[in-house]
Amino acid sequence: MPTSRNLLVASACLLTSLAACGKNNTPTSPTTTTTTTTAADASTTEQFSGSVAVNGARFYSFDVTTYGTVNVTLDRIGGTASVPASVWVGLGVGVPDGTDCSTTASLNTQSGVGPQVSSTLAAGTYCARIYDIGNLAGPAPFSITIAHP
Amino acid sequence: MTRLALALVLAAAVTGCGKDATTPTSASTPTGAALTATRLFSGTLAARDTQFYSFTVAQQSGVFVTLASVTATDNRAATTTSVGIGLGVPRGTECAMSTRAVVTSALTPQVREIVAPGVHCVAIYDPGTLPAAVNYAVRIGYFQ
Repeated sequence: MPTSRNLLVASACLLTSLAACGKNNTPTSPTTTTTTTTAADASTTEQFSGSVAVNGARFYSFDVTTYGTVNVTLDRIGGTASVPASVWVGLGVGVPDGTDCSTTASLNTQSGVGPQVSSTLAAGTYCARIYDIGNLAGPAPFSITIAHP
Repeated sequence: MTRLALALVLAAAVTGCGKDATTPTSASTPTGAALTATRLFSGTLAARDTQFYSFTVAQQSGVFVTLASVTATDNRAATTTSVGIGLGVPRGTECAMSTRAVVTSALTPQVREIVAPGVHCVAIYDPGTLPAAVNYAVRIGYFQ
């Protein structure tokens, strides 16, 4: 037969145990930390020039040293007997992958005052790509300016 | 009997403590460098030519480059022609190689190096000994 004292001790243990439950689930006030990262300006400039073939593509790899804005400007293209300087081509920014540049941002554009492609990127290795979108009747000389942090 | 009942209640109460949604119910599988990625870089290399292949490594990893085959372009016969292979990072219109070797095809990696996370490249080039174009296959292995 349990004595009153034994029952009292057991009850105390039970209450203590139950009281300890959920202690680690006690809600705390949420802490909000706001981190603002400012995109660095394009402080480095690289020139990419060459010739893009009919149905062809060319790309140029470069390093972005810190999170910031990358600007790609098609300064000049064509101007030959078979390709007018006003021709439209594809221009983009991406990551070197395999034997090509896998673009993450691209558009069709003519040459001119740019940038035509602008993208905010983390530090890493990227590429600028120019490609024929079906308008070239012959090889097209081009000049591209890549500005990046 | 009553003592046993009290003990069971107490044990059940204590056992129930600490259970929450994040308590693991089994040993978790370690994540990280568990999977090996393999890329195949193949093509035709002309005399005095250089070609390269870019790939992204997600974490510090060993990279293993194997020139798996070199064959003639006309009859696809295997040759023992030496070519250059190298490992580096894409720069401009090229692969800036930090490691290079002139090798013949083999079953084991001829170039191996530990690299940091990021974009890397493997290049194959004519070291000045190619009499004519050859077909090639290069295997690139790394941990992903």
